[in-house]
Amino acid sequence: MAEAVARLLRDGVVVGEQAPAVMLCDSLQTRAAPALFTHFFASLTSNIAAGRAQAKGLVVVALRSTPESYTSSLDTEKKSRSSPGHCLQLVDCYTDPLGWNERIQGAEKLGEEGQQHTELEASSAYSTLCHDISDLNSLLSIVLRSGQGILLTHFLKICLMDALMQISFLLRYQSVAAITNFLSALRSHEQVSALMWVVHGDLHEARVVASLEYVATTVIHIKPQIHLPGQMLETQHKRETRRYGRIYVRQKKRNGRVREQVEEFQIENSGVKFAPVTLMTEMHQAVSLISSIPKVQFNLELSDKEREDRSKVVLPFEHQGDGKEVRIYDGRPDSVQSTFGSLNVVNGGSRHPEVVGSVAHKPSGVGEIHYLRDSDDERPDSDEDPDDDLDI
Amino acid sequence: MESKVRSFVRKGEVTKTGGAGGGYVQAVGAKPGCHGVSLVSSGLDDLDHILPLRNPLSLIVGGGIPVGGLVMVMEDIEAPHHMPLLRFFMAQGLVHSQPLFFATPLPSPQAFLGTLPAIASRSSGAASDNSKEGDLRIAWQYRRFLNEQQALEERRYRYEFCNDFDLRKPAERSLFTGATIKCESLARGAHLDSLLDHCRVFISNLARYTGEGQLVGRLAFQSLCAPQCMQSCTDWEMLRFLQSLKSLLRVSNAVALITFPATLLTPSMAIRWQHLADILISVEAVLDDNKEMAGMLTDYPDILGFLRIHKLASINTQVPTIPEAAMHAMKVVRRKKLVLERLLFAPVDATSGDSKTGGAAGLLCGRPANASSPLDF
Repeated sequence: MAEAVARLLRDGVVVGEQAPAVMLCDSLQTRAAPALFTHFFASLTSNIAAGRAQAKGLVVVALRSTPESYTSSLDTEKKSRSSPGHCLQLVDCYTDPLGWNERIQGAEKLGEEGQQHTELEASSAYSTLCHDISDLNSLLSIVLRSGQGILLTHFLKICLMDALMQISFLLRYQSVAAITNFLSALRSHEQVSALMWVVHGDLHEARVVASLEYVATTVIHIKPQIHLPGQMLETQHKRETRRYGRIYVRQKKRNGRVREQVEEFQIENSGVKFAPVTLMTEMHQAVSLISSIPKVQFNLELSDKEREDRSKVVLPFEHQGDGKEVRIYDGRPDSVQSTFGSLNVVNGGSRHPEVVGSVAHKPSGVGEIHYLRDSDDERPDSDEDPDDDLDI
Repeated sequence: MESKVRSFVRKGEVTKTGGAGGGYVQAVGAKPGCHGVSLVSSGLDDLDHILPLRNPLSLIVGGGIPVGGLVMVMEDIEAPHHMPLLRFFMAQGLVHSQPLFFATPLPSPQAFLGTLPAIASRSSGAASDNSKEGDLRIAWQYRRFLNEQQALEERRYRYEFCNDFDLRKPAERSLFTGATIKCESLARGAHLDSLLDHCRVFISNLARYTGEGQLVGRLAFQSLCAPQCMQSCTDWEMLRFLQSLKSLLRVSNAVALITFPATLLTPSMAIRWQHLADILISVEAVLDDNKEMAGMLTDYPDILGFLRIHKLASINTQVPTIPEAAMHAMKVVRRKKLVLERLLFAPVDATSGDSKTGGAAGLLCGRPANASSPLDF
């Protein structure tokens, strides 16, 4: 479940083990990974800011969009309370990932000294610029240094941090082996509490995604919503279907088993809402009932006519559910005024008024049950065994 | 004198070049199997019984890994079930004082050696013997033989083919002293030429022991195509390494166990790796809280994972051996012993659920599909 994953990120690493790693994998049909990523990012920042998380700081490697987009997704309240640099550090790999701006500006500097070039890479207090994402060692050191930067402001010796990133971008420039090494190095570092990354599953070969799953402890596959035939509403056009989907969470447990859970999600303006999966059995009650009858040699099903007749049978038992007291014909004239003259089997009105009329005419299609009660003092629905009074 | 000319000579004699090429190897921990191949234990009693060589004698002799053979275990990337198999393999080698070569992508292989299991203690057996001694009142004459029997058992214990291991206790330090163990870490990438060189040196050292004191060496490779190892070599180089290793093993007194995550290879490469193996096993993870599986198997909560036998060794024979049961369940009994069991299917309940899951009884009691009348069964 999504809350379980958020808790996992919050609780962080257990002593003696490597940090838990969560991987989000989506595809073209859903494209919901950024929204879910933002959801987990927001929950993690709120946990860290409130001090509930094991980690004291968060390091984000911004590959998909500008660092400001990450900070703006935080609550405005939280922003006013504490500056983003307080517990959030960004490694900006978006602005100048391959160092082109740097090289251009370096060439310009040589050419025209007097020109003031705008500082595009203003590394502010909370973001560090990375000029070369093809060098993973330097990226690793930048990430760790940013994390340690948080530690310094807190004056704490041992602190843990998280790192979030979009791996598909890195995979353009690096081989799978290098990326998995990078991720394993982060996981095994003693100051990393948890790790999360996003991969677009259909951009890469199956073995690449499998290698990343090999490193991760929890894998969340984002799949589009399953539409059953006959359930498609006309109003649901393509744009709306992307707001819905299912997540399949596979968690590797310590005893070697794998826990798989499915949940539905819906993307709204305020965030992502998760709901448990509506099973087919709930949606199609009648269908499921029929399928649950085992196939044996005799026919257990009812045809429509049989079902109708069954519902018409008037049951002469004590409670029909009307709330009125029911009197049963027991072969003796009733002391209370009874309407038995009209051959009502059940006194006090019947559920099916048409039966009253039809009983008088005695058609063959209506079922009748004649119940003669044995003894007067037998209370209705008593649990006494009728054989108890035998003297053997 | 005319010498008897025979067209076929049985390869039963002990020869210098051991392994599958020659005859039986007379070494500690090796026993003769059929087709002229010696067997060593994998460390797991149940696994040895699953690996028989096709021979009525093998039911008595039992099975094992043929000397000169290559065992490959396909890992599941979601579960670490190949690790106990590695541990038992290596621990059995230590108990029999067999030289060990271990390569792993872990940064520190020595730490893994510390997790090898110890031999399960036999204190319970001794206690029962004492009680038996006290009970001999009628046959009191045999009391003196009981002690001898016990001493014989103790001596034979050291040279048991397959020992009982206790997962809770680490291996005794005394086993490591004097043992020939070579460790290689592939954390920085598998440099295959140097790795092959190390293997060649290790195996050639085994050939120095001849005659009565022959030794069978064990090579263990963990997660050989893991991403950390593959960063410095290509797929084809890795395949070449495996072929060279297999050819080295065939003419020597060594066995090798390689575990590899098959899903991390391209499909064509994965198939090639599988063809190279003499014995191919795969381990699979089991889903937690799976209602369907819980309904199908009786001991589902105890099962750690599944072990599947894909291929058994057919060295020196043309006829392949087909395993009796392809799939076994791995369970840990009382947290100390790993057992492999055949799957026990739960009795089918025809009244519950879908007719598909209640199928067996329905199929038995129902009529055949092409019966003309409903009365046929």
